[in-house]
Amino acid sequence: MKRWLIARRFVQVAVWVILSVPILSYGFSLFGMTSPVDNRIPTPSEALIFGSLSSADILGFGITDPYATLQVAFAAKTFEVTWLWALMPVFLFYVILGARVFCGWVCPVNLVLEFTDWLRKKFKIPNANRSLPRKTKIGVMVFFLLVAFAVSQPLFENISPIAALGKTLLFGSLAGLGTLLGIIVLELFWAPRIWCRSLCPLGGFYQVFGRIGLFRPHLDKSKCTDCGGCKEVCIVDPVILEPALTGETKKVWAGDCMRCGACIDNCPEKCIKMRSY
Amino acid sequence: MMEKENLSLAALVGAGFIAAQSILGALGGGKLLKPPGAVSDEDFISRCISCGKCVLACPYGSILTATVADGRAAGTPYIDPRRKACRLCVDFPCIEVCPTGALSSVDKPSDVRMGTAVIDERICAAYSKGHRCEVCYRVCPLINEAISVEFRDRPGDDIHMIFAPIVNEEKCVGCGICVERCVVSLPETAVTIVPR
Repeated sequence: MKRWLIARRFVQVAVWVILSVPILSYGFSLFGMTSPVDNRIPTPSEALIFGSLSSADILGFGITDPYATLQVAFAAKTFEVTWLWALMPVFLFYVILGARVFCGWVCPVNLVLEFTDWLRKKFKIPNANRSLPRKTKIGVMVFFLLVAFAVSQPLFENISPIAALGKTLLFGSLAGLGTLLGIIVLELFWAPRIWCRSLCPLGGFYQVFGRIGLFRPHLDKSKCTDCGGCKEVCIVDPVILEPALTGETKKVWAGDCMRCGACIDNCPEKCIKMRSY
Repeated sequence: MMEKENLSLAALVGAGFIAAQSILGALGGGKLLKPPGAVSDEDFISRCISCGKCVLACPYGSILTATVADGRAAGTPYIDPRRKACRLCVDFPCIEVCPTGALSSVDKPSDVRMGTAVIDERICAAYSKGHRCEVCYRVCPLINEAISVEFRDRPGDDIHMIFAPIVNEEKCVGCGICVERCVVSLPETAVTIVPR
């Protein structure tokens, strides 16, 4: 039983159900197909929760993507205290759990690229197998902050593939779909899993805070048979498991770990556990 | 140390991003009609994170999202007044939900500055055909302020007059309802909004 995988798929899908339900329950249509009306109607903004991954309202309290807010600060060259109240709940939630929990459990791009990777393996698509260092994405994150400053626009948000799927579903915004398509082609034929591992600026943003998180995989070296099962399935990069496998550390300390639990599911000796101590 | 092929891959990806950015920049010529509360095109573009909350908050379904074909505005909200104009809600739900101040608060509907209506006298039924149309005047939420009707002589006609709609640029908020209802459709309407 791949319990972690099941739980993770459940959350990955639930996010979109939670964001879609208010839209449908107020008689609006998904994919931006809502017909305009002449008389004022109630809107999803009156629901208990509504919005997208960029910004949402929960019980009337607004929460906003911290990296998007940071880009706006660079682009508009200003900062408003109210932005801090909106980004803090999101930032603290992910950073306390283990920052890249967002990537593993929530981000729709990871879900699509996990499927892309499955397709690539299933149909044995010839791939150039290129890679880049994982910390490249921290550079990409800084790069897009500088771009935001230079062109006075949070440019990554305009063409973000992270937004693409969700925003297409929720209100028919197609702006990021081209970026996502480009990434899928890149990963199918050239560099497997390179977006989440090495390029995504939001992943880079959370990678910076990834070592703070409460939960991380803990390996009981006394039971480990060095079968390599965990490394086969790691969606981040099998290298992050090395220190724990060699006995150098007891836990996976890499800030990049998405806490996806794939290593736990795939350990035949059940020697990996997600622990907060 | 990065290997040589890694470096070339990094360079290629970087070039891809920069290319994408310049394409957006190059395409970004035409201004779109933004929801009420946008201070200026520059200020709006610098603050909007394309979260879509205003789209979901609009009680008339007026707000749409721009595609990459709209250049710099890609992903941001806009209004196509011919499809459905802004109805100038007194409580401005779209501004209310904006998280970054891309849409900033407005006291009352008459303070909105989305753009200005411009009438093309060559195709307007009143100016070009002498019809007593007055549709834009009648539907204007700021009737007699933003659009008024002026009686003019009709050249070569001693009996009839022209009931000419006149836009007051100081008062027009650019909501676009005159465009939505304009009887001329060639497919261009006789009245259009020049976005702010």
